[in-house]
Amino acid sequence: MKKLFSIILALVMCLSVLSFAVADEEIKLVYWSPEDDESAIAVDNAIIEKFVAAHPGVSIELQHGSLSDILAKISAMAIAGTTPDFAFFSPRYVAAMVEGGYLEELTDLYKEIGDIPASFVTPTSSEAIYDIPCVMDSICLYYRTDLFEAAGITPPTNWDEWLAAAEKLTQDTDGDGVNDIFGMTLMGGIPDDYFGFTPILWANGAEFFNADGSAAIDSPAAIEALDFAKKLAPFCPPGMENVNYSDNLVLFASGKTAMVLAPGRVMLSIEEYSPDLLDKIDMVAVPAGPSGDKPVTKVSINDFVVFNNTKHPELCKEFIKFYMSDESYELFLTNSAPGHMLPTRNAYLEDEAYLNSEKIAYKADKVKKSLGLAFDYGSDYVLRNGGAYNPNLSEGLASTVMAQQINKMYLGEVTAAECAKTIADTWREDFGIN
Amino acid sequence: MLLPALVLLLFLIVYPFVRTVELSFMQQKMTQATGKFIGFKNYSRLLGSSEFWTSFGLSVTWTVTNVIGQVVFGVIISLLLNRTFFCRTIARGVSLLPFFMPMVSMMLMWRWMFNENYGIINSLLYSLGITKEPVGWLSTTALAFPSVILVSTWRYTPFVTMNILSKLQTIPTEHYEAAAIDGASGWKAFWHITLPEIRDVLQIVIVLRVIFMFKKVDEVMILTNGGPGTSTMILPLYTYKNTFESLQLGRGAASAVLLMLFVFILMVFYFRMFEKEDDVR
Repeated sequence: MKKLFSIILALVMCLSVLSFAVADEEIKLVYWSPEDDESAIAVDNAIIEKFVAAHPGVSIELQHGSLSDILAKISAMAIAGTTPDFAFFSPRYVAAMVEGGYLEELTDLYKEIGDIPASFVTPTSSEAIYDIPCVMDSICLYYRTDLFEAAGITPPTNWDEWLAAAEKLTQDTDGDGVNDIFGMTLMGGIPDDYFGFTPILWANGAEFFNADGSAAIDSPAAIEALDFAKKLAPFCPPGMENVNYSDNLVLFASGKTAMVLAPGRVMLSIEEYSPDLLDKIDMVAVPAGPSGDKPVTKVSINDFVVFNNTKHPELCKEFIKFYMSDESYELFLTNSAPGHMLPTRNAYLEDEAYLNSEKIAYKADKVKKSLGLAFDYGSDYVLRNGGAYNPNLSEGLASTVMAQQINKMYLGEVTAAECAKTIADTWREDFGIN
Repeated sequence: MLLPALVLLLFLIVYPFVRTVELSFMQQKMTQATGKFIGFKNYSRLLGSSEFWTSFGLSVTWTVTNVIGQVVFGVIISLLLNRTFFCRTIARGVSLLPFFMPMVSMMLMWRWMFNENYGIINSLLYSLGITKEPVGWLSTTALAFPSVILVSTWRYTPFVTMNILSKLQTIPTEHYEAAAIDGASGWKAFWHITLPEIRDVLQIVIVLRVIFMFKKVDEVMILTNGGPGTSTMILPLYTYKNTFESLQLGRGAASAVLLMLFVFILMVFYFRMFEKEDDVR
């Protein structure tokens, strides 16, 4: 009996050692994404499943974090050495990560994929490439074609027309003395207000920072842009000082406002709240301001990055390449917030399969237009100043002073000039810049 | 025997505290692994900043009004719930609900209730003819802070209610019967019987509420995020934003240390005040 027991025990021990050996061979990657949209999660999981099926012994765990505190979280993880293997996030955080030495170089991978415009890649202090632009959204000026027609006006091509349209389309439609439809909606709440203001700033030829890294938010053109945003505020629904990104979309999608600066996600909001409005909207690029020379669309590019504390950098790159391959990429574009997530690959500008896919076809004209506007006029934070690298960009945009001051400006507590000066002075002191 | 507790104390309280104090003397961003020692510069910058003192003032107002509201309403509700009436058990359960409901869901619910365009509060006021235009409960500087205080008072009053009610139930009814025989009014019975009996519990409850409310950040963050402008930027939220949004670890740590010192001084003062009163008694 004792002998039998010993044999069984030895067998069990051998099996457990074997399982550990097998476990040792299994590779687990952690993929971090801030996209918490249900469709985005489902698509990511579907692509992971396909990749894992083709790579036995590999598992990928998808983790999520909030968009609002990415930089703080990733910074803390980077310092602690607990970053995920690779991640998907905004390029405005890439520079800080590169500066800290936390990212793996991806130049070869970028060349392999081959058709992403170089202008979309995040500039850094070196010539190397550290991010793969995967997708973008395109913030345009969406407007209600039916309301414009009824008012006898055309989409604005300059700021005077824009302001006049906002005023004309702010109406009391039921005669109770209170306006119930408004010409415009803006993100005026903290912390999204600076994000909503960004395309207005750029459309006036102004910047947050100059090419040499000095503060530019207090330039005359920037103050002019702030002043214009403030002039639009009275034609926004009450409470615009507390309106955030989602509220902004809902207000337009529910028919409360005639215009909105929004990405393609507004179409998804319309499909949810008022599907009959989908045929009554169109978009233009944000009109150039008096000091600007061309219209603008604000694109928000999202990139893949690989952290250099990963034990499997080549496998991470292989996953990214798989994600960007036609099969997975099309799955992603047509299922993850379709029409909002736009391709960064040139090949998809006119891709019939993409534009004729079930979830895009009925709004293909709008998707194609916003894609065209993105490629023609699109700019993102890191692409300004000809792509000049700015080590303070991430922190400047994340700093509370800008959101607070712009909010105070909308409240009437400070003027545009005072707002700009406070932001610029704080940045100069915090970053040691001019 | 004490070793596990001491180890936990060391890692969960002592180390974070010491590290925070250390950071408060450094200039360090969150993206940096190490910082530069700058002495008391973070403190002098904060103490010389009008924003810091505005936040401090808001925190004091927030704490005082919340605690007064919670204690007053908490005592009133507990007195009512101590009486015998039909469905008293259900009433007790319902009155405690705000404290036990998930915080984030509740705050989002209040945010929607306060919404200028779609909120039920404005809708009710408008349909009753009380207002003709939407009221900016969370979007105007005049109303945002009182609105947030109201919500917070609503949420934490049950905590006071629970504690006071527990004590009320231990007061012998004979005291009230004797008082009634002597012709004491309800108010006199409250002042001379109830209040002395619940005094000790009230002291503890007030101390706890002051500590909790002074360092509260979640309700304000969800409802207004410190806005509009900086009208609801209480000190803990100011500290949070300095640390996790402006990424200034050193400055945030200094703000946290100052916050801790304020609460500590408050508590020392409070306990000394009640020690003296106990000595007199």
